[in-house]
Amino acid sequence: MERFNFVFVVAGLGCFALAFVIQAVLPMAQYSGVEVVTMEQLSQDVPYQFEQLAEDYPTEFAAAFPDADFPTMPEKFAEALKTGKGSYVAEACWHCHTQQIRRRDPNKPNEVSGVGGDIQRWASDTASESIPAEYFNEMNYPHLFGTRRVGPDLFRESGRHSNDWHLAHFWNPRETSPYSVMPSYRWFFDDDQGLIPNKRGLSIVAYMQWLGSWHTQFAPTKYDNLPDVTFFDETDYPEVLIEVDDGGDEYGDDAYGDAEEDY
Amino acid sequence: MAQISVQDWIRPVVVTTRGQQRLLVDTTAAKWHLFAGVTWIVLGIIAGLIYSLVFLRLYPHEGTEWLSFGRIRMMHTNLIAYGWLVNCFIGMMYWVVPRLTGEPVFNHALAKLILVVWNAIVAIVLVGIAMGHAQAIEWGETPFFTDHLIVLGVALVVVQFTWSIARSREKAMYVTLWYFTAGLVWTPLVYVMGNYLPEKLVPGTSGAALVGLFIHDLVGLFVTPMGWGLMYFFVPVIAKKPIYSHAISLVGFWGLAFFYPLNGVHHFLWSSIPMFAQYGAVISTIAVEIVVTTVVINFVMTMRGEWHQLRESLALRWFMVGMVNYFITCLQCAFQTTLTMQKLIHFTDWVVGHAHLVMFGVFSFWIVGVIEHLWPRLTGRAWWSRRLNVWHFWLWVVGVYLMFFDLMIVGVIQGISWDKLDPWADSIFYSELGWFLRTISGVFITLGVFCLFINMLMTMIKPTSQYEDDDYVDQLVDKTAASGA
Repeated sequence: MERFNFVFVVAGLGCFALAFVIQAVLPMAQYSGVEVVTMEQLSQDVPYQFEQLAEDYPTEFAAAFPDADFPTMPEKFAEALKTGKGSYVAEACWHCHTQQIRRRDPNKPNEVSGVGGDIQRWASDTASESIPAEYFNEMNYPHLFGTRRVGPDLFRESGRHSNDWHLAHFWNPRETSPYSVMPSYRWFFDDDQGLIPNKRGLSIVAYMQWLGSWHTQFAPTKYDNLPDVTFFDETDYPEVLIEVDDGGDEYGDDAYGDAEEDY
Repeated sequence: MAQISVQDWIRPVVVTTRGQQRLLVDTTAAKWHLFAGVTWIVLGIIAGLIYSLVFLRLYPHEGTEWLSFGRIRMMHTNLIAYGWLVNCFIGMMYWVVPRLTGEPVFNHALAKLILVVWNAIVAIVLVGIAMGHAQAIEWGETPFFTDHLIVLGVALVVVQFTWSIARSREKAMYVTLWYFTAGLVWTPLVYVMGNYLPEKLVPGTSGAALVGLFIHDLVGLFVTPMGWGLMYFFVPVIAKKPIYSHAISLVGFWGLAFFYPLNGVHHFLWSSIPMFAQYGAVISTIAVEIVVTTVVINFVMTMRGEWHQLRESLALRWFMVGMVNYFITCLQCAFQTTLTMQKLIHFTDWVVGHAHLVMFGVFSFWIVGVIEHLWPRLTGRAWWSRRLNVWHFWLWVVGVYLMFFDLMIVGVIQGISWDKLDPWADSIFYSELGWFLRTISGVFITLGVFCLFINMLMTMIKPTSQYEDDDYVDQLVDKTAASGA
């Protein structure tokens, strides 16, 4: 036990491998059946807020996403999501905002507020705590769970605030939330008054409005009639998501894939 | 006694365990690694201090993109992890490993290369984060393109030191070397696992399990073994007393090796990661705390009857305060990792306080203690000012406890405020005093690190007196006589 080879192989390689199997490979195996949603699939479901950005900021939008027409809207939306997530990572938004609504205590399935009040505070009308299937998409390489919550959780942010609110907030957070300690992000704008959002500004708003949008029912817009736009249909979601959407008994389904063990 | 010049005892050529005449300890590499490490921590602590201002709603450089607060936060942690800790551990391994193995490291030219390459990497990481290329992995925000460089750098370090350990013909392998060997295997594995898999191959919740492992293993499988390895070497050397119990050393090491890697998921408790992984992580975390407490006991018992040495030896003082902090950390961790406690304190400043107590109050304290001991021996000059070192000690002690207890209390307040569903703004209002005190503690810590940096610099450039390690010179004379040189 005190020889180089023994320490190298047993402690170094062996113990690491054991932990890797138990703490990483087994969870991976549990979710191996969950399909990873590609960027192309994701972006088919363009939240109305993105189209609203195109209407409200036509010049800026055209500069940021040239030739955005309705058939190409999903492509532009995918581009906006990538840019937006890029800023979210680069500015370390994820160090002060979480993207997870913690699960219910299995011993208290009827508790309304959830762990630490998470569910009552952050869940939306159509979705409760966050479940694995929501993270299995191309926007989650790597995941953005977060470990510190200085500001609100953002996983159900879509539709909570308007586009304009977000832009004003990024320009000066204290204009919309007087208590906030969040720094301002002037470089999301091209002017010195916060009126002309650039590509990064529009994209981060698009990203904010995307988070949780998969649970939102959009009101019909004029674009819905366009024949060559296929909006994201419910059946395109991984199966487990739909079951939660139904608003049925969440603990009867197998959203975690480990229902038997836990509940 | 033969006349031995300063140069000779700083860079002695001795007979190795394989009977060759070799330069055993590369003190030049050790010296510059330590100096580089301290330079990075000065920047890292300033970054932390600036970041704390955001919580006071002070934005001194609003509108400067590359100094955005989020980026400064990532610079803070990465400078500490890769600039300060890695540099210092490498530097100290140059001193420790060949002494224990009786074999020099792989190559003295490679030492220069590692010094340059590693610090260039840290600089590139810094610029990369400032330019907005960070990677969304906690403790691994190093931009993805620098990850390849870091893996290369780590590989060089592993070859450099594993060579010395593997080739040794010493009959016994001392405890320090168990920790170093395991640490040298774990570090590259941990880094590759945490930075490549979640970025490219494993998305979402499965990736989160991996990132949890990475966050934890970087501390547990890189920093901890290196830190304990150093303690097992320097505490007996400085206190001139053997380690209390070999059996406890074995328990501590194997307990760490077995339980520590199993803790990963405890960073994401109550998340959508499967509950079996969470339960496992909680149980093994509690186990690990019990195991490492035995190591603390080993050192406390070693110091039994020798506590008066703390009056004279600043190095031992750093070590023992670090040891106490380690015990507090362990005790705290065993409680805070339970799912019950997590409901209250997860996502709060409690965790930030805990992280600072570990990385700053324990490992940085130990490293400073070792620097305290080594710097005169590496430069051949006595410390420029002992008083400055004492100031450094007290500034950091006051700083770390102010920060730790402050953030712990603030964390609980935040948790309660969230749990009883106060408006979100209230949790900010309740934290304001605590955040102010945290910045004050940051000022203490910043002043402390300035003391260290100035003292090290002045010791090098404005020497007051030569330093001679009498024991070491005697030992060297014996060896030189034995080899017939």
